[in-house]
Amino acid sequence: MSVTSNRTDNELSIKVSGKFDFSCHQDFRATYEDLSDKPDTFVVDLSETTYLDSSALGMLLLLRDFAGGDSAKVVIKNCNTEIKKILAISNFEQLFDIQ
Amino acid sequence: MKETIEQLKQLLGDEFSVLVSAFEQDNRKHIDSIEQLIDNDEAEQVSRQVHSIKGASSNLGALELASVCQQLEAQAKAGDLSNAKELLSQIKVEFEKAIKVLQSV
Amino acid sequence: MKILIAEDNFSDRLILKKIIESQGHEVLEAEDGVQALAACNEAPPDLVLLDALMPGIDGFEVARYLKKQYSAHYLPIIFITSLTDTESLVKCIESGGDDFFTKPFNQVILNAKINAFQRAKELYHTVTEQKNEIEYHTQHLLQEQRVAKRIFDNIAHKGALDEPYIRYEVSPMSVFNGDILLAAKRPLGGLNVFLGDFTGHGLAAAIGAMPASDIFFRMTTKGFELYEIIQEMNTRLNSVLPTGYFCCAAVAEIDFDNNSMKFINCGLPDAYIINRNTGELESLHSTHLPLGILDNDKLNVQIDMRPFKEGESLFICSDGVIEAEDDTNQMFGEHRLLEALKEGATSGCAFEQVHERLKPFHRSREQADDVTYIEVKNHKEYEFDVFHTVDEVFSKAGPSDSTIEFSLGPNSLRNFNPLPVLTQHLMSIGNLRSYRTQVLTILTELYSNALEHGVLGLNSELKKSAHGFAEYYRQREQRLKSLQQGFVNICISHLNESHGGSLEIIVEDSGKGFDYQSVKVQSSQDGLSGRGYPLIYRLADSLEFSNNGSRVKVVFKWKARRSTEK
Repeated sequence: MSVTSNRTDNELSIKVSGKFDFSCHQDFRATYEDLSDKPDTFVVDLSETTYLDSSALGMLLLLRDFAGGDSAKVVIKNCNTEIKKILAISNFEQLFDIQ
Repeated sequence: MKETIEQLKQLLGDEFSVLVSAFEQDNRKHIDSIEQLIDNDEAEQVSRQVHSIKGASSNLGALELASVCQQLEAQAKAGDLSNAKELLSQIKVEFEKAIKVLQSV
Repeated sequence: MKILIAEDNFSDRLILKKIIESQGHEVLEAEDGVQALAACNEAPPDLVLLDALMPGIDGFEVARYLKKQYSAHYLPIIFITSLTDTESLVKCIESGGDDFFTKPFNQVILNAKINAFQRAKELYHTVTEQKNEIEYHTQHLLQEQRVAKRIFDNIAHKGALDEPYIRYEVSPMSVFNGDILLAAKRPLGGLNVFLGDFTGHGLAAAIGAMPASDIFFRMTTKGFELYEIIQEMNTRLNSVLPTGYFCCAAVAEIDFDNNSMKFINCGLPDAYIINRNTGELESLHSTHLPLGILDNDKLNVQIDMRPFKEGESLFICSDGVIEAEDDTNQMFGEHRLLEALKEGATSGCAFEQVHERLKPFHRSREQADDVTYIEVKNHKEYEFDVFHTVDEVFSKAGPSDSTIEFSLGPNSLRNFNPLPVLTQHLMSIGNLRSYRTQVLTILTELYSNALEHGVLGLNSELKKSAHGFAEYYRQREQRLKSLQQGFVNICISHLNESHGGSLEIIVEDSGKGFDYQSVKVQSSQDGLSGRGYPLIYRLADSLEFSNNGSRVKVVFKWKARRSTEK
């Protein structure tokens, strides 16, 4: 498991590799909580994520909240089939831009 | 031997004289009983007693005495008492020497 | 430290004693093994200096005894020896020695050794203290959890789960369970089932489970509609749970009499309708976000109404079933679940198949997730009986002659369900409670007829086919949403008589009425449909139509049951 992030002018990209579960909690939050200014767009790159559990869904909701709730722009991209399915079961496409 | 004795004197203070007299008495007893044990051909007991003298004398820096004790202990442990009387008399000589040094300090 | 010296040679002992005392330690002396053991039994020392060769009990034996006797303590033993052969040193170690100290004595070395053991002892004490503290806290926590679980179990009780047509499995991962499974009978017959999976496990999950169960049981027994129960739960969970915590849930309201079911899946894996006759499975996908994330406006609860025929059963599971792993970290997976359900479908033992096949998937290791699943069958043996979860009241308390009137305009018809309120009122009438089922059935049928056929003008013929059945409810929802005018008036009067009472219910709607003459003779054999009047005929004492059928009056008389009959 590892969480890395990359900041450009108006975008923060967060990449989670391996298992996205409760053990990522601290690292995931740290990527956005300590920013001096808030970017417009948040991108969560799951291209190297192998597994995602319900606590990860919770973390995504926390990020959405931080990013402004209903007005937030949070993109989730590069999901594998399994992960796409989990996001679909939870109907998260209603809350996130899933690409 | 002198150096060891000086250290012990420092450590024990007034009780140094107790140490000296205990050393003399205990080991004299051991030496007497070893004589008897050799006559009775009790090799294992000889080795035990002489082991005790060896330990105590090494602690007081009486290294010659400890060295002869070591020889007798080794032979007795192997069940060989052929040379025991001779070594015992050497032990007696070294023991008296050591006592003399101890008392002179 | 308190240090025991066991050494038979006086001069050696004296020297050791002096060296150790000069470092500020307390010294106990023993001249042989027997004395050494006696001294230890009196007060165990912190460290033992032990001569290997002593008369009587020798050092090896003393060491063996002490290590056995004080295995729970930290009692290091240093062998004093002028033995140098390997064999003897091995014997020292084997008998429990921790270190050696050889003659001639070297003060510096001895002090270094003693200091090392002192540090180790302090470390040992710290660790032991911490261990005890952790043990204490763990015990405390477990105790608290046990108490909390008792409270939790009282709220999330078994309800109707033990009914013969239900099979279920709930296996908790910890004292608490992130899954909740609830079932309760509806006052008009039928059953509500709720399977919820909270994010996380243990305490955090259980906290959300409490209000959820409470709402489920209270609202079900009061006759609230499924969407009302779900909205209430969603609102409560949204306010109780912090962001990031939510509840995936599937909820069903099963009407065995009408062979129908309302169902909603909010974030759980597919549920299934299993058809015993054909062996076919139908998936019921998740269509909504989990509960506790958005407010009701945004959650937009849409509940499907669908047939639930004889010979069909409903299977719901939490994701723990699909994600259960075996010894080789293989997941049970959706394909195995489907296989199991298909295998058991025609023999009516889908649940048993899943149960059997899941066994290797949580046998050896601790379950990673909660595993919960349930199968509810629709079969004819089912009969709803007297309700247990509401206290029985047999008293003359409550109103003895009263009239209650309700007028509902378009807004109220859209958003308000008058039945729970009316129910509550009627149930406060002494003795009528015993006839709850009949009265509520009559009331519900009258109200839904007035609303659906009268005000909304829906055609009951639609409900005759499975497709039309869904269409009927789609139209109902649509028309209700755009309702601009219309009304339903309800007037209920009752009068207590010497051994019972009589109840008059008048329901009037704004619709254009219907041909009640033909309905009156219709039988109730036509499956899903019918306006329910034949049923009312059977239950009520009289049924009269007026205003071309848009006004209906029903009289229900009852006799007081003696409380011993309960």
